Amino acid sequence: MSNIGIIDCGMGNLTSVRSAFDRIRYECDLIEDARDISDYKRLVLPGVGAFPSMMENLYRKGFSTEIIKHINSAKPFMGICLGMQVLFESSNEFKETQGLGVLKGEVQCLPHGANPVPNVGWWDLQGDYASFSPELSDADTFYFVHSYYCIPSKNYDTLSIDFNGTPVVAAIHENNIFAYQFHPEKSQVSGQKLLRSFAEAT
Amino acid sequence: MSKKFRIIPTVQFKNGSVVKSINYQNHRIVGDIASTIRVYSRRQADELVFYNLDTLDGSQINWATISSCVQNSNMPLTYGGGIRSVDVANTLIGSGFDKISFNTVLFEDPNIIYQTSKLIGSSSTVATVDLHFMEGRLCMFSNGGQRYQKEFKPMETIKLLEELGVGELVINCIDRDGLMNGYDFENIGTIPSIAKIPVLLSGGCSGVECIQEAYEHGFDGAMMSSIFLWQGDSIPSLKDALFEKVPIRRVVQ
Repeated sequence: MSNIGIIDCGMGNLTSVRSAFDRIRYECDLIEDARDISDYKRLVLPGVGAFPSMMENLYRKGFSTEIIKHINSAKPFMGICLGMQVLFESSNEFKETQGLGVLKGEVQCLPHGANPVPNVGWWDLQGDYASFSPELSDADTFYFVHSYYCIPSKNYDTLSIDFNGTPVVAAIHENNIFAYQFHPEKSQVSGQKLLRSFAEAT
Repeated sequence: MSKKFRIIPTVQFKNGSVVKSINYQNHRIVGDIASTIRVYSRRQADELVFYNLDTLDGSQINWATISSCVQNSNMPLTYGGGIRSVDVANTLIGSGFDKISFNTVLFEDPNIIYQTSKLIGSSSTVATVDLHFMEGRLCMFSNGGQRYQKEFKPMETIKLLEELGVGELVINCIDRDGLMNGYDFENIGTIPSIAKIPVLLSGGCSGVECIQEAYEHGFDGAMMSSIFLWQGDSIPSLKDALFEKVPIRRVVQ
């Protein structure tokens, strides 16, 4: 068994997360049964789709309690895209829905303006890269596909983009939690730097 | 710090090979799928759009082809061709595509687009709008350019697609396909200012100047394939030439 587990709650693009770890030579397993979570040192929660249906899946399959347990035991955890958003307290996508609440704040629709919504494409990031990966530089760019974004109500280590005049959080590092609004698994060489850091995180 | 303009290669697939057409006809074999995808991956294309033409005769999707496409790619991938159910759309996302693109189903059962967008999210739901400039106006086509949808008007159809939850548009000009004579800005140049969602354009790319013009018109990205096949351009050569004119993403090592 490997030490990276990818949560399969029946939604999202798991193949690309798995092949991205394969490409940098870290083994990982898909976790379909919540009871297996405790076997893994590192957990990844990917997500594509809408907030309410993802939360429903996490509860129904028993993942929510196990994810919170994993995070509280200080083991490395990575949330990607919707897998980042569900870490927050609530979202108003379609209807007001409670999240896992391990990060403080809420999820809302991106602000409208010159940049169209959804936000699809590559961005460079603002902020202090050091706590995310020692390999990152100004030349790194990351791939986003999203319509909603996280608004933390607490001061976390973040990287952000300037979206229609609003600073939009792109990445959060808080203790053992790494949360990415963009897709590190799709961000080629730049994304590999983050996946490598995570695979080596203690 | 800003959003980057996307340079997106298109790959058309038919009868086991990568093909290239002119005006959606006379498809010529230009390579095999695995090596084509590997080349674009190595050059770190910003995205790749894959059109499966085998489904045009009603054939089912060949999952071995899908898998070969995904396995050899490190790029964000969009799939188009023969998606006629929410289940198939969802399976494509699960098998490694980031976005799926609808075309013909809009004219058959638009509710499938709406349901798919609700399930996988609008940001993963794309529509390819096939246009042909003829008799002095833009005409809508479906079924890989084979069927004229006379009663549909392009600008109204774009609004309809947005209402159905589509999160990105590919505007393609069939009459420019494969000709490398420039994008049709005269007829489609205003679409980004009309649409609320990101708009990509395709059909006729002739190289650096017309990509720069696409950026200036407010498109989110430019799609092309012939210039890579017949004109000796490559992703790095385009990006080197566009650098400082258009906010493009430089390839990092």
